[in-house]
Amino acid sequence: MKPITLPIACLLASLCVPVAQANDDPEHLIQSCQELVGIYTKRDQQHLLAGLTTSSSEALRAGYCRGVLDEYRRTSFCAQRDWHMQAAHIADYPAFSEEQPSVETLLKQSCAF
Amino acid sequence: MLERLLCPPLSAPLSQKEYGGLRIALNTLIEALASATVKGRGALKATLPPLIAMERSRADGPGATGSREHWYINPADEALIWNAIVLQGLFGVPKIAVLLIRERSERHAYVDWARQLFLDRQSVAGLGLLRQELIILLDRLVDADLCQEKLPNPFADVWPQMGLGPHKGNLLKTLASQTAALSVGDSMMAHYFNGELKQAYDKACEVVTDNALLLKYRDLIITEYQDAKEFDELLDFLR
Repeated sequence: MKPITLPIACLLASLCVPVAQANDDPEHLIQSCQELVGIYTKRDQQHLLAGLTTSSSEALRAGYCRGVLDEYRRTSFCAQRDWHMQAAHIADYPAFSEEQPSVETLLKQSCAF
Repeated sequence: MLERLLCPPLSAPLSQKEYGGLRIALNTLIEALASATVKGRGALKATLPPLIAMERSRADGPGATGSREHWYINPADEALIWNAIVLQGLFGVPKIAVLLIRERSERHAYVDWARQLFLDRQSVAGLGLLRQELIILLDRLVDADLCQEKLPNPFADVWPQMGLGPHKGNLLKTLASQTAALSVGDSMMAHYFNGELKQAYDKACEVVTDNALLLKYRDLIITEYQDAKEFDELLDFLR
């Protein structure tokens, strides 16, 4: 066996192992949290309104934001006790700004008071 | 001629038994067209000539007793007869068809009325009517020369005169009952269109009807309300 084949074999093997990969797209998280905040605003505004005016994709996005927040709060310390406030913080961040923080930074910042 | 007007090629001839209702209706119509109309009363009474010329003859001679009477219609009257058949189907009785052909001044009122009933208020699909054709028909009817110009046929697949289809022969009666059924659901629909889903739902729960169209709306409102309510409850649960 030539010495070169071993690293190649290792590389190929590592490609086949499934790795749990979190979505690291801050833009997506910001938009999703905007949907989440928007849906709850509608909910508080009028009974039944949220159900009538929310599309499936909006609901899915909102659910994604909620899931990311829940998971972060489960594993990391968060000074912000209210997840809704945290979502509002993230939603306030301009989604299409030039320099975007990573998802991790976004979540950490949103936990601060 | 009637067969040529009404039967598409290769379909069963009008003489078939199942078209008895249509034959009777058409005979009544032709007779109305071929007879003179008396207009006015008292001294002003005037007799208008028949709209079409028709000759009747019964075969004479031995063995002809009880044989069928033959009616001969002038082929030049084809457009007029066609229009009369369409109008009879739409308005129900030959008398109105004759009146509309004779009196241009009467047409406006009937067209307005038909527009309200058929187009503004109803789903014409439920009655087996073609919307586009009906709109053209009503537009043309007001000032068309009914002796020359053939009106479009607004009926989707059967003539109301045949007594088949959803209206069982009487379009007006069906329309009236549908209108009545819809008024049961009027408040439900009014709430719905005003975006008051809760009130619409409350009304929908009270609606008892056989009207298919109304049942469809009722079920739609109930489903929509339940979905929205479920969503609200989920949002509250996740808070």
